[in-house]
Amino acid sequence: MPARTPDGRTLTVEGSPQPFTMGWSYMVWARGDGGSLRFHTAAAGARELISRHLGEYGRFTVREVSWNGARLVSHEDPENGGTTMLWIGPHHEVYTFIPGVNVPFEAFMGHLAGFDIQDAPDGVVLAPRLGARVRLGNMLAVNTLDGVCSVQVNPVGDLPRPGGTGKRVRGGALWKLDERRADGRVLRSAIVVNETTTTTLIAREADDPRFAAVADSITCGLN
Amino acid sequence: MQNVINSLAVFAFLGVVVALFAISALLRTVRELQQAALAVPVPGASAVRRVTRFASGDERPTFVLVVTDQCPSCEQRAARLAAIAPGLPAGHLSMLSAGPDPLRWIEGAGHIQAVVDAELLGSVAVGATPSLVKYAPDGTEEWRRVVGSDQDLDRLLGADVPESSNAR
Repeated sequence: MPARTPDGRTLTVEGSPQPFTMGWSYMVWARGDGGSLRFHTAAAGARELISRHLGEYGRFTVREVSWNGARLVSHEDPENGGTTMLWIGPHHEVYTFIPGVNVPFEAFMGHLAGFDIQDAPDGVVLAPRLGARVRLGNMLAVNTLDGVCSVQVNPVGDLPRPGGTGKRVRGGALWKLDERRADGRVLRSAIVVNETTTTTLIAREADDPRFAAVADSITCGLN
Repeated sequence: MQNVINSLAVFAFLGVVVALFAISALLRTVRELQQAALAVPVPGASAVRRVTRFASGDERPTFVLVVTDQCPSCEQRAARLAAIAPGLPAGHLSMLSAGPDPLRWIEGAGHIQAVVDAELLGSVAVGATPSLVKYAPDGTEEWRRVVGSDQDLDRLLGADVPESSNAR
């Protein structure tokens, strides 16, 4: 099932023995003359759902307006004196964190104005407008396989390649890393590198056979 | 044979010269267009926005809530505006919309002057809705603010705020 990434590429994930039950979330940096800003994208309503789940939604000051057919929402958190600004479209949302309270919506609109935001069922794309002098970089995609592991996909050039040759698997070259923590538990991660992606898997249970099966077969591609 | 090649060479040279003239003429046109475009005064930055419709007869300013259809927060802000006690804010209250649909949000609130005018809405040109715009008694725009919550609306109606970033 291909998915569109916020920088306009296509992410394909094949060979996973169990399906993803949720859509992909993305993080991408927008760099411009005025500095850098980190945008997150996810399914519409996801940020609110998560903060409700974490029990922090109740203390937020929530503001909402409408802008070019989309909703603009701000979650102002008095606890850390910061504001999460969300653009919520029909399928997905784009949000960023802005320090400070009473942040005017105009500030967020100014950041978004550099992009043509294209929201479709397979993903939301932030296309830099001509002359806006912004560019996107360091995109990463995250998802989870329920009860097995977390999955993080980076473009292959963005992360250093582990040393050595790795083990040949379906999705590229595989490295496994075990880290023993102070309480004696083992944190096991797997890194799969191929021509287009570096995929990092972090196991929930180190000796879960399903994790080994995922590491041996998952194939991620970015075009 | 040599004659043919010579004449072809001469023609080709002539062709290049003609092409150079054509290109220089084109470039001059572009330059003239650029200068003409730069010479046009940019509206906005220095121009003061003024809407005579929102000039008041007395010395009080006018607060205009700009709303659009299909905007749940506009409905909430309009209802809040309708619930405010008449005479509490230091000015006239008005609501500007493109169509008649939002009128039902402020039904029964006689202290709000409803203005349905798509053209005026376009010329006021707020970035997001609902927005509150304050007009001086002579119809000059003093400031505009996007209103995200009822508390913000109360605050904006009660106090003066500095010039907003999207007010030009």
